[in-house]
Amino acid sequence: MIEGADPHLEMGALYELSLQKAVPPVLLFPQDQGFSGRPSRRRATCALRACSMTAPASSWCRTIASTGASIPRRSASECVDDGPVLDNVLMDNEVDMLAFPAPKWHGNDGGQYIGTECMVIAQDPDSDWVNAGTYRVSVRDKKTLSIFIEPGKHADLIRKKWWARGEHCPMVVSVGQAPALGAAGGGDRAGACLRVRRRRRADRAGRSSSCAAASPACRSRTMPSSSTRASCPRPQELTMTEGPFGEWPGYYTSCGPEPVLQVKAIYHRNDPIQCATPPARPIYPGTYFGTAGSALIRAAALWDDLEAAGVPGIKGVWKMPGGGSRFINVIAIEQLHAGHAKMAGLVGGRLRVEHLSRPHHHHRRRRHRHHQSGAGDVGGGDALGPQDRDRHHRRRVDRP
Amino acid sequence: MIDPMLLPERRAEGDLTNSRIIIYAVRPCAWKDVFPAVNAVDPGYAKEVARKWAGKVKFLDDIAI
Repeated sequence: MIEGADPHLEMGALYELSLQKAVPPVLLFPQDQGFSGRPSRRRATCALRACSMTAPASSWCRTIASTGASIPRRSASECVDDGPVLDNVLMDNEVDMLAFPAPKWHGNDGGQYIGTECMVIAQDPDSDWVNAGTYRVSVRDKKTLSIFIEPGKHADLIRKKWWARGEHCPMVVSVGQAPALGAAGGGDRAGACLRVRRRRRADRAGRSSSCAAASPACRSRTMPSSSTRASCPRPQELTMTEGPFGEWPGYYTSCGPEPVLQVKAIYHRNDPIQCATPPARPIYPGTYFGTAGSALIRAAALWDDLEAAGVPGIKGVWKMPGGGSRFINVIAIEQLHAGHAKMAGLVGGRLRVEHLSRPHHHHRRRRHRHHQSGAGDVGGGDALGPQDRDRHHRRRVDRP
Repeated sequence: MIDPMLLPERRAEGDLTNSRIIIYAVRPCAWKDVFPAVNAVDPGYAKEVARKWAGKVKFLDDIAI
């Protein structure tokens, strides 16, 4: 716990320094911004312990792969009508995003980023698909956030559907969820699935959909500490210059006009804990198990895919945690035939198309919709499309 | 054992393993001067922060600044 660090660059510098440790500590920065600044010891401990599950051990990876936990599926979850996140509900003139810490993480960042370990939740207007993904979010004024979503990401596909109808895209930004959910949001697939309770469709059409998320693992702790309900206007209506931002490949992005989120309501529990994982230059391992883009979950997903593609004899899979865990894959095999290693390398290098969703995603989804009735599953921000989930669902059934 | 790249000695021992890695990590020379800036804390500022928090933050005790 580090008291008194300045959200303007100092927190970011301390975070980056901490990454020099082989197993970096999780940092907690109490802030006095109208809150007590002191989350309960129990809640702080839960958050820190969950975040600090680094475990690069292949056994973890094997466990996740063999149990299919890297595959999005509906877990036994519970819908709730109430929860600590509703301790405080701020509407209309009470909305003030400036009341929450939004650090400037890197020296050349073009804004104060509240969303680096966030879940941006959006619903496909044509189906029951609710997506939760991690996209960078910065605070612009009391009621406005900037959001950057790369073209082709799931939330981008979803918002473009709303825009094509001439409507704003409703979104919920969670910045204080349980670390496991953040890892799911930033992962290629949901490591932990959650259900999002939606109000009636009429409500949604009136842009008043509100979401309460819960997971069975730790019900009271999993509720987001704070979240923001917002609408994302069409770019032809409103954009703001967003960025640059020090991103996970280790470089600053260029900046340009991006859509904004107009904040309609803020929900937060008393003494909320906001999560953050500002990107850092590789090889600093900014993406451990409990954070967005977890190398562990991505490695397990790759292991699953390699086996599904027919690569035999796999003994271990790992991804370099630095650089968003996208740069270097390590695949260990028990060599069974000449060319086996080359096969594993070629297949492994083609399996994880992490940047882009499949273009035929929507069409395929509708065809398989009978697999997905009920409340929406939540896929990762870069998650594979539902057609891939169906493929894996089928494969799992075939497994002995 | 069709692979011609297998070393004769290893082939004789029945050792079919090999290990190769190619990392292509360069900045394009033609536009290296406008390549995006590296996302890293300024070394001078990092030292300043480390000095300020030395003795108060445990992880700073054993990292090289």
